[in-house]
Amino acid sequence: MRRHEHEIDELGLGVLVVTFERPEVAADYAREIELRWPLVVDPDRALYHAYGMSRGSFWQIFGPRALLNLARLVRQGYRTERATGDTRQLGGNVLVDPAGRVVLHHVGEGPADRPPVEALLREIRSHASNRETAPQHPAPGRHASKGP
Amino acid sequence: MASLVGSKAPDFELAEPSGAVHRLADFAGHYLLLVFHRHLR
Repeated sequence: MRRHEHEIDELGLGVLVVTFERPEVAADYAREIELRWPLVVDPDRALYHAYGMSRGSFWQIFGPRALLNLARLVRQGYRTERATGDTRQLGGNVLVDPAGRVVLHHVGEGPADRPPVEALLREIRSHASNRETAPQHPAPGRHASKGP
Repeated sequence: MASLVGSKAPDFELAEPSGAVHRLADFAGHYLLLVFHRHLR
């Protein structure tokens, strides 16, 4: 997503990253990867449930399709570590429009199942051009850039 | 769960580990992308 930071700013898109992990784990993670967007903590997963982010089945997480996706990520440089959190919790993406309505709701069906950032940005552009009210000012919440 | 597309986004108020609080209402007038993470480690 970081590769698209400039476009995200141009579109005035607010981003919130949500985790269910403990605050200290979340803080370490955000610092380690120099996360540019707020990482909020949802320890009881109330927001995960409200937005339909479920726990995957064994086969969703460890089945052939998931392992193929993992192999693809490793080839792209992803480092695997021993998991400390709930490995069966699935993730996903939700896009909310300026009026507070959901315009994209993607619940991952496996560990690496997410829409490409390019597709999310296309969706916003398409939706905004229909509304003709694309915001031109920065969204709240973004952390200050730490350099190039 | 059925798709939420077209429905009002469920409200929230969540904090970063630093204590900074973020609410859905803060993003009124903006597009907001919520990225639900799997386990971090």
